Amino acid sequence: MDFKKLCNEIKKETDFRKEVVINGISFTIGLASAEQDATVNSIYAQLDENSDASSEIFGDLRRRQTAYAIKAIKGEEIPELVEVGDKVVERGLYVLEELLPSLPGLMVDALFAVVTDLKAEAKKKIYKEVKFDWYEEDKLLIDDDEEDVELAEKAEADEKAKQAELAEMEGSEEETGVQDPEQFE
Amino acid sequence: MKVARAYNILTNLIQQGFDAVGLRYHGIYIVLKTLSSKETRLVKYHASEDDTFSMRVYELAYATFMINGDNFLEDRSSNIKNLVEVYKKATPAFLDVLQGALNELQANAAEATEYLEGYSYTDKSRGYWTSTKGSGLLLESTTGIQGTSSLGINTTQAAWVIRNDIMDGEVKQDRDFGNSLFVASASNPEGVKKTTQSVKNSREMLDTDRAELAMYGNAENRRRIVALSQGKDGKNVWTADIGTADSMVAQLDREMQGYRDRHDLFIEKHEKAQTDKIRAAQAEDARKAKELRDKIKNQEVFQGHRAVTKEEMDAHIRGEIDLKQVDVVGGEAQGMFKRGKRVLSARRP
Repeated sequence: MDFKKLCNEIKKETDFRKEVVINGISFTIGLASAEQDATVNSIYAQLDENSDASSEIFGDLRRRQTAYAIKAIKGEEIPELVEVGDKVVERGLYVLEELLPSLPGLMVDALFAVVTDLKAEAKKKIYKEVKFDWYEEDKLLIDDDEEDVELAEKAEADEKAKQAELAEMEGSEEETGVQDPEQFE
Repeated sequence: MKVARAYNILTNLIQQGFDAVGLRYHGIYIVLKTLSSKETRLVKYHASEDDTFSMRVYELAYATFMINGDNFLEDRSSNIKNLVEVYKKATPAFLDVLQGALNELQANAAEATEYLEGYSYTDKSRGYWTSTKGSGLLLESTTGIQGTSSLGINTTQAAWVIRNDIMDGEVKQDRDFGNSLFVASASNPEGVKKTTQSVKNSREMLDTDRAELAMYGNAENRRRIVALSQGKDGKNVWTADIGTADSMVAQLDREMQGYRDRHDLFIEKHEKAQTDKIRAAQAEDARKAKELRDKIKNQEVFQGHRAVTKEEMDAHIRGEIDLKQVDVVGGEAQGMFKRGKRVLSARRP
């Protein structure tokens, strides 16, 4: 089994991209992988509501999410691994440390807004388009209420049979006159 | 959950070792399976509990049965590593969908296990037990799926084996008991006859109870469906069935909530009729007493008569006079009554 092929197939099917031009610069925004997303979100663990540093952490979170989402600039794809001096860093860290500091804050905020929209769109699309197959035998594919009704009908039929039996007994009791309260009077 | 669905899930859990759900998204088709308790334990060894992301990814890797038709249960150890890498690189939203499906699958399996008692009594279950005797449940030759022997027995299978083993024990016990009775019948045939009848009756009751449980899945569901057929207040039935402990509990529940069956309504009607009858009789008595009081008040009974004196009564006892001959002093008594009324009227302000 070729896992690389499988990985690429899943990636291809769940890849969402959006082109956006801000101040004449075109950016290709995509989605971070689940692992990258988890790494970025791990920053939440540092959050302390009572701390003054919370706003800084949120700012950092926004920048990180934006960095990991930028896939290409001016149509030029940034590779997954980038060589910076004598180090090799992953794309998200490269964008975070080398590119974003050179961009104005408002531009980063605008890019972050695009990332948020894209995430929401992707989630909506995936949830809408995924189809589930619950493996059940055809004969067992009975509607829940239908089954209740069936069982209740069976129980009712049993009860009717019991009542018929009882009615027979009542017939024999008729002579003693105890089948109706009126007859007690 | 309904019985048919629960039984279907239980059949999957017992006969193939897991229940499964397929997810189709464009060109990807992933089949997820339930995790056995042994796999859940293994996941814990792969990642620390603080590392929720890794836990999640390993859970999904262990839960993956097939992707695009390739079986991942074979060559498990290397497949798990590769699947973890695949899921790490997937889009978070896609992972969320997979996780949601797995959670639902696990929850359904847990819920279906509540119907295991009823399922164990079905012919289908007993038949499968007879053919396997609970051994080699996960062998590939038994499940028909490559790689199932690496899954580890699940809790449903373990519980099912125990239940069936107990039922087998009962069969053996019945047989031994029958033999003992046969031996004892030589010395005490009457006693054996009585005992046999008693045992036969209990066995019949047990069999009926189990047949019902097989139909309804479990006692709770039986109670619910029977209540449904009898109507919420049980008024559709003449008398609520109290042949079993469950039906008795159901009837007590109904009584505590104030619901009544037809028998209760009959008794209530009878009691009401009796109460009305007594009240009518009391009202009639009261009316007659009032009439009498009014009559006395108007002095009708005293008009033209007077009371017999003690002396006259003594003379009557001595036989000196006949009371019938005593003259009345009605005119005088009337006069006294009228005078009294005038005096009383004069006193009014």
